[in-house]
Amino acid sequence: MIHPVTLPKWGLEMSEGLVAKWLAAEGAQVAAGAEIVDIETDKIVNTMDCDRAGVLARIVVPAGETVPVGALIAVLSDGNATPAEIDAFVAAYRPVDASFEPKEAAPQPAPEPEPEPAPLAAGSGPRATPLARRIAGQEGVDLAAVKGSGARGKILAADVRAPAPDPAEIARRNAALHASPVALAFANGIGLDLGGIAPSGYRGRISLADAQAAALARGLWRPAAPTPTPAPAAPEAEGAVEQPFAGMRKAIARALTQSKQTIPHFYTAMDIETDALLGLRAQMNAGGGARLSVNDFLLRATALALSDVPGVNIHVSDGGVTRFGRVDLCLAVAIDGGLVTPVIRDAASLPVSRLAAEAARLIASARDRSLTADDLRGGTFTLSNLGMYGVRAFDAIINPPQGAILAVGGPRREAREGDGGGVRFAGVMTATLSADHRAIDGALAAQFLQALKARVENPVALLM
Amino acid sequence: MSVKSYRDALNEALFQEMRRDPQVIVIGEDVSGGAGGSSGTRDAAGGIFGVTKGLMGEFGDRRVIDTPISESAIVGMANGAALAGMRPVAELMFADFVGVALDQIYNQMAKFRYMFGGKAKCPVVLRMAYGAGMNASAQHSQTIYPLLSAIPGLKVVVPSTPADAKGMLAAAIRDDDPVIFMEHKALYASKGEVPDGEHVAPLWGGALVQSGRDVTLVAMGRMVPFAQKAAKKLEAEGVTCDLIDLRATSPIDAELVLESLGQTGRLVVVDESNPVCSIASEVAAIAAEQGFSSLKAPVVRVTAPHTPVPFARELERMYVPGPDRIEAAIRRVIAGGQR
Repeated sequence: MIHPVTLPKWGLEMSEGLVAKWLAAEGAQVAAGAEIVDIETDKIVNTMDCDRAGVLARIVVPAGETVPVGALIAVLSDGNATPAEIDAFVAAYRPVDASFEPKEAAPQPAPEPEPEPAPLAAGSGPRATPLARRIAGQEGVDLAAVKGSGARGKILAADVRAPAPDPAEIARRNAALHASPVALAFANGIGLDLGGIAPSGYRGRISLADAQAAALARGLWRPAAPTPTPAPAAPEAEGAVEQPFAGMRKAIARALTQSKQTIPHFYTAMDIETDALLGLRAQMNAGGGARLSVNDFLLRATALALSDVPGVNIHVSDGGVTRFGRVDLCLAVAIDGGLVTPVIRDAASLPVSRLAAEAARLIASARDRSLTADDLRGGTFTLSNLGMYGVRAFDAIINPPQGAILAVGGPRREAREGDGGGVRFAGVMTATLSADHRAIDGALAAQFLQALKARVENPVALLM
Repeated sequence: MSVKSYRDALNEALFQEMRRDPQVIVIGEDVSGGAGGSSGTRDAAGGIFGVTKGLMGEFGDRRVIDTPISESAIVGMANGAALAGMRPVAELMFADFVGVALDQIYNQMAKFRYMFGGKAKCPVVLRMAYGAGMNASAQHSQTIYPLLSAIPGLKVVVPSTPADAKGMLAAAIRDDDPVIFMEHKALYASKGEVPDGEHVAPLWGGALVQSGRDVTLVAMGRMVPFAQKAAKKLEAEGVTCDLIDLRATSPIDAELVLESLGQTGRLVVVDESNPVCSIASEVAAIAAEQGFSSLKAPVVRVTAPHTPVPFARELERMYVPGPDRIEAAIRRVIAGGQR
């Protein structure tokens, strides 16, 4: 029997001590309780007793040396230990680290990689008849779990096709096992017998994970995709089916919701007389060449009006307002399933015929879904025309980051007061400007509409 | 099996264990009935809740001991008796009174085995009545189990049914470690199926009261029947809950909660305690730390407010989490947890 004598901790803050004087000699017999050494700390000198009887076989720390608390200072033996054994003990002794400093954890050696389980040699595994193997393969039954009733435990087809035990019987058997209640509910629900499953759960319980693993191996269960949680009762219309937003519809939904929620829209409407414009258009179309639509003229008028009142030809963001030196005019094109707004670059510099051609090209591309990202990028203002559907007026939603959008209705006949007090009839359309009130005020919006009105009602200037 | 009250189930367990083991003794204020009780005999009521009725008559006053009104003496006496080899069942009447006995509980009882290197064991069962709802006011209605569950070395159990009351009390008496046995005062009169004859139930491990797909609903003590009511109401709307009765708050059956959460993705924890450092907080932390990938919505805790228990009945009704608040919490977690 070899017993260490270590430097004691005599105070909460003591971390080391000076071995001042040995009171027993090496090799001496000491009684339990005998004083063997004086130890000095910052605060006191005290004498340490021996806690048991024995031989002070080795003095490891001589007088005059300071060692940390817990260090080996001597070795006691029952007298039977050889010097070689004492040497070995001293060499192997690891003192407890009693210092106050937190130590860096010693770098852990990288855990040895688990040796790969040896692959099953062909023909090994449970002995079973070929028919039994085929049935097991078809039914997804793990042969290792089947008890063979044939010669020397060979698995027969009948064993694999054993009749499914009664679920109530299984539940009764499962209840006697030490399993988590959730695992029990799961097992009883699919008729899984939990008997024989090695438990790996809390305090030796068969956990849900254990049960699921067994069920998977026996082909009774497959992990399912998570089922969506039903919200508490929302009544559904007969035959109604919800279609999730996809593609273009989703983009429109997102963009316009954001626009309506974040941009302080306000609306200014103006009635514009169209007889002159329609007359000019008729004249030009009669002259041959490509047919021009009312919209083509409106594009020209809008572009010029934007040059007249550039304060409406802007982008607005939280950071501020961006004014543009030229007009990149978007036109709203309705297509199957949605709406796109391709851009006519530098619209103010294009004559009506060029605008018409460009518009036609973009509309055709839109309809056969061949618009490029370039066609859709970077417009500074949008024109939206529902006049061809007979709409009188409407308020459009601004296309962010643009500052405004012009919504134009169709021409109608109106009775108006004529010069000299009589009644005259005029073709009139209503144009409504939706503007971002962060950057555009009412007066500016009105000025733009006035400019537009002037351009449309004096259409010859559009041809220049 | 027969239908018994929670109080009678506890009484049966005490008779069962005291007959089985002569080292089991019962200590507390008025546990023998109170000297000169209403019928004039020494064994009259059997404690203020009647749980220890009849014990003195059968086992005598050397095993059923009335003490003075000194909780630290009651627990200290139990500690000493346990260290000396007895199996005391000490009663603190109201959980709120642990304050004056806390040193005996958390510095002594909880640490004996550890500090004596396993050489001593302290098989004390410390029973106490907890909970609000009976108009007992601030100093007689607290839950207290969150404080005690935070202390290593104590087992804390909160049985919610008469069957668990009987089985867990028997198990606590047989257990070699200190067990804090929390009995909700409003449950003493509640009734349920209880096995006749010897019945012992485990001191750890939750119970799955009902199974469902949509929400994991965790509760303890009197909150379990309230949660059951709320869950039943929502079943009619197609929302089903896994209702877990924790049964013990130390140790908490985290694995069971996580297994259920793995299947439902939504967690509501109901705890009658005040919110800070409650068992609800602990379960929510476990879910956030170990069940994060399962969560489809933030965890919802349903607890009492951070106030003392009110005396005015209307205020107390608002204080105790009832089925309506639990139902609202389930709806909130289904809707994604946004307040």
